[in-house]
Amino acid sequence: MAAHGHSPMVQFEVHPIIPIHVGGYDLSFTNSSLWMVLAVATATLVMWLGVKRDGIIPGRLQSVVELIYDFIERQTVLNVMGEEGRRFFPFVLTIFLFIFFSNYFGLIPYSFTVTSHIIVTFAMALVVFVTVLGVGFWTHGLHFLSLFVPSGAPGWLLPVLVPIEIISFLTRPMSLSVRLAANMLAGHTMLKVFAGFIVTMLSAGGILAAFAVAPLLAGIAVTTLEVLVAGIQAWVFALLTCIYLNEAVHLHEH
Amino acid sequence: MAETALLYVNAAPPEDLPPAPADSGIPPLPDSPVTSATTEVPVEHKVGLPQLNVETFAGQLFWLAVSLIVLFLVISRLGVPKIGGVMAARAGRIKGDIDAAADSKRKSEEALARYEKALADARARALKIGDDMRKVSQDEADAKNAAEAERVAAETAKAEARIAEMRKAAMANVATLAGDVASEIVSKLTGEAAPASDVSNAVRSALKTA
Repeated sequence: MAAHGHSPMVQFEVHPIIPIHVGGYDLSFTNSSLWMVLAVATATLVMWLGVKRDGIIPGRLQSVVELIYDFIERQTVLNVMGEEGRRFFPFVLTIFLFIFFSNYFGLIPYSFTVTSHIIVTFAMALVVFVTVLGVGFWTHGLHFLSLFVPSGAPGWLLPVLVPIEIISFLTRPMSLSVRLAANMLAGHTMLKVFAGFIVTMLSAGGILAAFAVAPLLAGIAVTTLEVLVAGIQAWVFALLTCIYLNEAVHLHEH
Repeated sequence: MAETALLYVNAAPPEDLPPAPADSGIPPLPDSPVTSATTEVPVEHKVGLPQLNVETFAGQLFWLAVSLIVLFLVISRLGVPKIGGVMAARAGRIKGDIDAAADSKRKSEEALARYEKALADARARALKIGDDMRKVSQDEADAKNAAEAERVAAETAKAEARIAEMRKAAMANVATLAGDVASEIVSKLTGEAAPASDVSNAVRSALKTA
């Protein structure tokens, strides 16, 4: 790690592992790519091992897989969207599992947090946004635009409300992606900063070394928090995806 | 990791201009206090957030797309049908078992109802038979009683008729006997026979007053 220095931002740097250049684009297989592939591989492996026996009475891993499956299917997708949401379930589960494993792998020391990069989360948010638009116009045609007209609002307020609705709709990819990336960025930066304090204070020696226990405790606390945040943020992203898709499917009827 | 860092340095496209803070819009992060004193390696890291290093965007987007597409295919082709299938099979099995249990319960309840109905029927039939028997014997007894009473009444009437006849005969005998006795007494007292008509008149009047 000598070359990496101690800046808390170094952990977010993308390094090529296998350089690949296609048509002027740098598509190198990087540490970021590695952890993306690992997330996909782990999700696949867990699912495959979980249902390998496909027993009526589930084993341990199968129980875990079914727990996640049921949590996303019944308690998230179907809960928000109703029975019509079933066709979006593989989409939502893909997004959830990818973020879930990326977030948790990011907690491993010396790993790389794929979801701490705004370009990654923004791309996923854009996929959700485009899907919402596609589903909305496919289902309702131009009537989908009524989404921007709040029902029950007095007519004279509409010139104010409609632009607000449109802006809030258009900023969704921003809020969706920034929420996830900022959570990962801030959490991991804090971890690194506290860890750096411990090293600094210990190497300073004397009374400062004794006080190194303070950043250690803070680091433990932040780590605990990050374990929670990693799971919650993956779910929040999936849940918001469902809510946005639900609006596209059902417009205002609730 | 040193190798990786080296690779990174080599692979990084040469930049003519040092990256200006204004480019990224984010002020450069100050080196942490520890490193500033001890750093031997020249600073090779780009100033600013690695997240804003546009050069990495194409690669990240490409590998993200590959990863998401592969994961989506795995989930939609393999994961969802398999996991969902197992869970549906289990739900079906449980539902089947519950249905079977409900069916058995219904059957046993039907059997119980049939049994109770048979029991009630048998009890009712037994009661009816008892009632019928009682009624039949009652009727028989009543008929016998009536016949006996009739016979007794007939006998009584016959006896009474005979008694009345005997009495009439006796009374007739009494009159004749009294006449005879009266004529005998008169002839003994007076020495001459009394006319028969007078005697019979006297006897008749005497019997009337008696």
